[in-house]
Amino acid sequence: MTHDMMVLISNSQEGIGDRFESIGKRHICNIYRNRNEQFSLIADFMLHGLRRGHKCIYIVDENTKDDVLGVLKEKEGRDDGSMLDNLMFLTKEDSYLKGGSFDPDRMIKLLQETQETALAEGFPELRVTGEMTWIFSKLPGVDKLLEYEAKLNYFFPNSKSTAICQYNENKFDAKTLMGVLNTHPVVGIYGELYENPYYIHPEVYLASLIGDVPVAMYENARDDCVKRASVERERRRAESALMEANKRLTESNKELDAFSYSVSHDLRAPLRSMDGFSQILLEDHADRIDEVGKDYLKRIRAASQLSGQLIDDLMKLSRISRSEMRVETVDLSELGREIAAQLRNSSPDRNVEFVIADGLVARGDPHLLKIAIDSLMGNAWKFTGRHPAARIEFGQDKTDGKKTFFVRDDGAGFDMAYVGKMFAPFQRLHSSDEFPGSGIGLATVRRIIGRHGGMIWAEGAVEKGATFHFTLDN
Amino acid sequence: MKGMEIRKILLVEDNPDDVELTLHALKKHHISNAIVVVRDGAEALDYLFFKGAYANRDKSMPALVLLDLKLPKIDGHEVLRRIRSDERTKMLPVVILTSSKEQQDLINGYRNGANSYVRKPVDFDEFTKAVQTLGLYWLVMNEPPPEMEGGK
Repeated sequence: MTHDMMVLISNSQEGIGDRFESIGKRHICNIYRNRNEQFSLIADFMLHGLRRGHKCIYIVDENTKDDVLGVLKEKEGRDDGSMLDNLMFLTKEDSYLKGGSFDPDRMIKLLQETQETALAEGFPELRVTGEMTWIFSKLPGVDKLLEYEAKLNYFFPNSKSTAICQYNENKFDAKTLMGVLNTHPVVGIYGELYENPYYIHPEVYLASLIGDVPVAMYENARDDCVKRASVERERRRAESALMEANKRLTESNKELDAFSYSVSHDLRAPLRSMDGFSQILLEDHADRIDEVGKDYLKRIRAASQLSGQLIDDLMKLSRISRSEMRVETVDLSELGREIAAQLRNSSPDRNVEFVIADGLVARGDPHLLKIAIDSLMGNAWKFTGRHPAARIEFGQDKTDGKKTFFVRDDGAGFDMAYVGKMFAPFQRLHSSDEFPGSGIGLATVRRIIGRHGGMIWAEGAVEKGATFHFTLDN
Repeated sequence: MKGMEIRKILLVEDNPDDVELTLHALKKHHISNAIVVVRDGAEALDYLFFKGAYANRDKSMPALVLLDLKLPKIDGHEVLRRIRSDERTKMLPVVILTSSKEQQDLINGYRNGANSYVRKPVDFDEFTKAVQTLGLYWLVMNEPPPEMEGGK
């Protein structure tokens, strides 16, 4: 394993809840230099466990029971005696050194029994921690410490217990501490938790510690090295390819931005000239131009204005694909009401009833969603323009169990035979003298919905209105 | 006499069509100021600072500068910076009249001390209305800074 694979398990500073919950392996060691570092981990461990109603056991040696209680009460803030009821204190004589000696298998059996008892008493889990300075008692069996630590790794994965073995760095020698690193899958160092690359599977570790190493064991390890190296190479290749692709994408976007800007800017000026001089001719030279001529000039004006509109819409469409999306909770009902008010203002004498449902909410980019709803409701407004009275609805319902929004109008509608063309850019189902427009609005809406991971579809009938349904990925 | 002199408008615009349309709009609404047209940034600075072809022009300063941004030779932003950094021209009302929709142009325009920033509409009626509104405001309603004797 390479050294750069140490993974920090959520920072104690970040205060992200109980970092012990996220650890699958539950055999942890705590290496510390002073009481601060010691309890930075242990207090968290105990208090989170107590809050969740776990059975908690603390085996003291370096500290006294009162020392520990003092720290816990201080960190907890309040003197909540009741919570500490589930916290049991044991001495090394009660546990590790019962009967005057230490035996790994006996200790593990004791741990197992303690877990069973706790579960039988209704506790969901067991949390245990012990200060490991008992090995200095020089009693028989204390030399079997690392055998014990290794064998614990058979017990924990399928248990309902989590344990922290506490090692004061100042007191233990390097050989022991190295063995501690080899036997704990998760290691706490000076108060922070890490995945441990020095962890050795108990079968392997015990074989080298107290037994024979079978050939197969070595061969597996050797082959594993080769496999991991190739996996790592693959990962690095993929990562650098990704970074390269990202860089090219950013550059390409920048170029596209600059290109679009100059294209649109340079196209606008000639359009203004076409529009302007046609108008001047119509105004100032009317007496010298016949009716046909005047009509042609009007068409020139209309065409240049449409061109301008197309440029604006295209710019908007291309910007939407490239822009960064912010994700927020958006009140669509409020948005709908604002847009309805704006539409009403634009033609106050139109008779249109807006029905905007309450409680329409979605997660998405507020700016893009505004463009989309604006476009859909604007369309509804436009295509009901020839009716004396109209009704435009914005609401939600369920389709196949999924929440769906819809914008509905009772206006000109469309022939379902052409529904497939509706969302493609520049496709129009009505002629421009029936209803003005560049034909790009729905393509833009579809792109926006697409960027939100949703879908949009339409149904309608000629002169019977249209309904646009869409989903937004939640 | 100073007070009787007609205050001029300096139009800095490289697009001949836009020049024509602007003049047309101003004329239509009887904005009777004399309009001086220069076709690029260098010419604008020559005019304002009595250089080159304008070394011997009359000493008056325009009442209003209508400034396009995308100009040949020296661009609008640079022209504006130089206007604002010279005592003789520092107080000149400058209205940026541009096709640009770029946010950065807007920001730089104001940063460099423009009095106003107007985007040229594509629609001719809108464009005419804009020019007339500008003319009426800056030349009739607004009090221009006192006539500074140029070249002093």
